[in-house]
Amino acid sequence: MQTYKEHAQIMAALAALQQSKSKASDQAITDFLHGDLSEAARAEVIEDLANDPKQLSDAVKAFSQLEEERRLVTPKEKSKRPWAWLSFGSSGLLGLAAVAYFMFIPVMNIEQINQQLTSSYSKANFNKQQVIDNLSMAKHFALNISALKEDIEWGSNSARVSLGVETSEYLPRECTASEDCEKQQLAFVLGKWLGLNTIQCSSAERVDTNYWQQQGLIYNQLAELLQPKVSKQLPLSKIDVSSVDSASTAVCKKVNAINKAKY
Amino acid sequence: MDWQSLIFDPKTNFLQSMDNIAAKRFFDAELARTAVDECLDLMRQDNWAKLNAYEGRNSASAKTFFFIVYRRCLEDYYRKVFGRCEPPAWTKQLGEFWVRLYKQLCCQGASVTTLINAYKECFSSDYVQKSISTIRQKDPKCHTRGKQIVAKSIEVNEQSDSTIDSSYIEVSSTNDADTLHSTIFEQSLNAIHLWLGENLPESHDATQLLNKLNELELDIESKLLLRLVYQEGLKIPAAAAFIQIEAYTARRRIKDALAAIKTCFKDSPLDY
Repeated sequence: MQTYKEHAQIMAALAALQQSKSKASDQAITDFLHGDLSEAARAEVIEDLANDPKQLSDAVKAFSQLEEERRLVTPKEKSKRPWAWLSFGSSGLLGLAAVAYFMFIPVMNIEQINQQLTSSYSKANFNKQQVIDNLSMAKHFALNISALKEDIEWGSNSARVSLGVETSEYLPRECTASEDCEKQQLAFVLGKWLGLNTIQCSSAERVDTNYWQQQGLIYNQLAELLQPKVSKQLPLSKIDVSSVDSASTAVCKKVNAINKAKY
Repeated sequence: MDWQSLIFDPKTNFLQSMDNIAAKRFFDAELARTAVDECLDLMRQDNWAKLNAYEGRNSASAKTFFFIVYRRCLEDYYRKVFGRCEPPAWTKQLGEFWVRLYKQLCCQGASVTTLINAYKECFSSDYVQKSISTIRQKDPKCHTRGKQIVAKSIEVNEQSDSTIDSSYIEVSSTNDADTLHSTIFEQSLNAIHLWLGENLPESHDATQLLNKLNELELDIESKLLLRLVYQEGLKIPAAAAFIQIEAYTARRRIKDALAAIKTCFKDSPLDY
């Protein structure tokens, strides 16, 4: 109930903010989104938007559309870079090394991985209130996300609910006959792993060193099963968990990479 | 700007984006298609007069401008079809999600199941159901709204009784703005308590809380950040990108704002 109450406080505070009488013009909003305004004009638009939820909502929709277009354009531009082969070559080599290193790990089935992951929830160590404070309450209007992303988000949400930092539980997406339901299940477990470790990685509290190695192993097992089923946009190369010291860095780098990936 | 060639050039994908936006706005696919045609016709009038107000230089910002105008046009069309079924002031105070939910539930008559499905990507069914029952409790006549409602909706001087729907009463020109805002705030607070499944204690002084919150004097960027994150559902880095500041700066400002807000709620019914 705590996160609901916290959200309620913010809702009330926002409701208390006075509405302004002036409205930014369509042109001003367009220029603002494209960064084409002077400092004074920018401040004016910010003031108008901060005081007018309706106009803000329209501007956010335009912003999301613009961001989406920028995202679609960026990979094409990247491929034109003459040094692009270098990054491909080095990551390819790293990927090969990782696969070679871990190819002999015995593969568990998805149920076993899921159970192991769920039981590791009790080993997590973090300041619950701090996580709740930092958690973005509202992914309310994140429409049009891919099915894979939706399944992963659902898993992350499930982990957060189990860890007691979120109270709203998402409904699972229905797996239709034409879909690969095992892929959905794997994405859900990967989401749980992400949800747990996103919290643990940003926590200042210490955990047992074995925790990180175990999380690395769980991830590698999941990646093994999921990799053949998903596009290359999801960075699922395996990680090196051979050293206790480097396991936490490896896990957290991977969490960061997956969270940042566009897929 | 040559709007004709920009919009109809298959490479720009304008038409597809227009279809997608309309499909999200209207439940009914046929209605969405008609809305696109209507808006296209309307914008095309007088040699794209509505769009010729654009003063920018490049095609990227022209596209943004076009879609801002197009979205407004869809809203006008929506109003034409469903009548002026304006959401009450308190929903506007709580943000665009509430406004949309109110319109879909009370003006379009969408069923609870449809709405749960419509928001399932972003909300749990519990969250949507709570919000629906809050709207229904606040507006018992919700299901009879729709086209019949033509009275001008306006923020009002209303009684604090949460069951009295005051959002359709004409406002007197003598209304004092502060009293009006205080009343709407009380209504909003009431809705928040209903949403939490609690009743607002009778002894509670909403005006005092409102004064405290108004005294906060949050800087304008922090206010905007709060709205972006908690009402619009953006993640902090996206909210930071929206107002063109660094994510860590946004994070710090939000943290400070939340701490300040929390102090205002001390000893109030929303204290925890």
